[in-house]
Amino acid sequence: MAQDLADQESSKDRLSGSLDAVLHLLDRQVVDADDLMVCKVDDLELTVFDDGVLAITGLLAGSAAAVPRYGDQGFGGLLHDYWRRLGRTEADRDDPYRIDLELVDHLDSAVKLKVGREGALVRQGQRARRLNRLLQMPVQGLDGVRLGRPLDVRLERETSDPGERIRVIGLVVGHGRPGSYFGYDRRPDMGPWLVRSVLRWLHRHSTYAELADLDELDWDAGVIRVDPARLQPLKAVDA
Amino acid sequence: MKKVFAVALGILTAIGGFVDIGDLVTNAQVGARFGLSLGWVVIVGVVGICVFAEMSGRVAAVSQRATFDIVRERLGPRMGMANLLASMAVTLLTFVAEIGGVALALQLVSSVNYLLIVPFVAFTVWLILWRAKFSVMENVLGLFGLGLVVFAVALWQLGPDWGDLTHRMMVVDKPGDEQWRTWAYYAVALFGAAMTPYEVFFFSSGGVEERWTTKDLGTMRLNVLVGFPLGGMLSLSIAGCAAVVFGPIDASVDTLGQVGLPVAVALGKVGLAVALIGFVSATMGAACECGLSVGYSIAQYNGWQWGKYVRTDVAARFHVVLLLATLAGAAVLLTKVDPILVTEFSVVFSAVALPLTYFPILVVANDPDYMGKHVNGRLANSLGSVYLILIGVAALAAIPLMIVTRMGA
Repeated sequence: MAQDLADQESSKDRLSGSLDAVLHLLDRQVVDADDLMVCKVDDLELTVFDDGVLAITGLLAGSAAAVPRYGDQGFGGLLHDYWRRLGRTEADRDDPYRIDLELVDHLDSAVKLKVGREGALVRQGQRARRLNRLLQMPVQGLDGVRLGRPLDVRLERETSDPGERIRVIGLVVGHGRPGSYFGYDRRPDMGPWLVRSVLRWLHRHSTYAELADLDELDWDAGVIRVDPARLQPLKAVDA
Repeated sequence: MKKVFAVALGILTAIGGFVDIGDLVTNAQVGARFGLSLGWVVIVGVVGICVFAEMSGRVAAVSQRATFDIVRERLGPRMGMANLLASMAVTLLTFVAEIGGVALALQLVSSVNYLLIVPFVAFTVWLILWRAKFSVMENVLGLFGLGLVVFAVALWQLGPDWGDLTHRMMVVDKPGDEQWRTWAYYAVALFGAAMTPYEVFFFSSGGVEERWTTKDLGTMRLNVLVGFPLGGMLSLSIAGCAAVVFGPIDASVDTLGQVGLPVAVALGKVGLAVALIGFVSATMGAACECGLSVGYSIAQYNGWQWGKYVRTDVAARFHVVLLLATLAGAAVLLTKVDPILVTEFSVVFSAVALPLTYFPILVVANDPDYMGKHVNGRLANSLGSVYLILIGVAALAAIPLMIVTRMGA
């Protein structure tokens, strides 16, 4: 199967260029070096580096990562509490499994690892930022008026020093749920016409905010602030 | 030559595999009450399942991702889970109906009460799921399922007024003693029987099992575009037979024996024997497909290893799900619930659960990230959009119609 795959153009590596965290990474199948299935990408680990860069550093999996995603903060939090209640004795109940991004070979219709699946999942062991947390934060104007929420997080692989990090470069901001644009923002020419028209109409107010243009990304308070004047129209990245 | 054989085999199994307990029962019931005046729904349903299966088969061949992989990836965990619960409820219901169907067909042969046969059928299904090779399972049961072709022969022997039969299919009309809402309810039920979700779960996962690549797209299309319509012809012959034999005497079809009666009338014992072989194989094949679909979907949602292309111990969770599903199916039947009634429920709820699975497949079949140059063409997208609306309407209408007609009473 692997050799047949090689001649298919769809198998180019998404991680080498521009990609969207929710659209291209979240909920993808993870497959090991022998084409056996490992897990789903239930969440992503985000790290703030010393030079201020926010980048993806690992894939998170397992119930500890998946359960909080079943709802917004209210219902998701409640569900999370109930789920924890079922295993209070377990010290690592809240600790998701983690696969370091170093172990990822490439990303096409699945996330392909460089290693075999046995023992591939190890506990994260530390508290780190999660993509889901970022996706739950309200996006506000400078006066506190709600502008929406992040619908997706745009990523790009660094090409210059220190290189190779997959950094966050901006947010798709709008109303609705993360991933609900289904990729029609990146490819405005994607069919069918009916679905495209309805989705683009539903998301007619969605905009794009460069990470550098954000006034505040407050992980503790859980809020993103941006000057509405700096919001940009969505660009067709993949067209 | 080998290629031709593979294509022929694929088409034959698609014909035998298309008809299951839902098609058998619903078509016979509708034929007896409405003649062929709802025959157009079968045609609409067959075109729909062709569009849906071709898209999901193409996605599986090009990207190696089966249906529920795509559902979770595009809809996320929340909508994905809602879809999983709905689809699994319907598929388990269908699974129960198929196991019950096999047992009822064997009861017709042996006169042993079907409740005694159910545990043996369930055990056999589980044994096939656990041990049999994927291709053997599909081909053997599919080929014997072709026994249902006797319904077409029987219809020809019964010698109906062909002009009248086909004319009824072309015009929107109903028998005078039926209400329009009952007519609409059965239209939705027939649509659901033709477009059962498990068929697509099984078809796309089977493509991954058989390691299809872009080279197999032609074969896959032939299987779908020739096999399914021919299977639809079988459905229509079943309805036609019931219309000719039961229509004039105003009888309704409530048992599997009555479904086969027209064959006995037209062709005698031998015909009935062949029909029974067809019943057993077609429902047995469908039972295996349903059971596997439950395992496929749950494993694909959670990211577990699945499939019969790996050793059973490599896909341990998948095989645990198969075992539990089979036990649950048998347990439901042993409550003495009427398998025919379960069938009626399953086809209607099929129509309800369909849109959540259809929509993400339609989107991904258009996404060059997954599909490269094999994205939907103009025809696939036009039909795909029309069916998106049709499936949505059927899903919204199904439960209200079920309530106001008291299940077509």
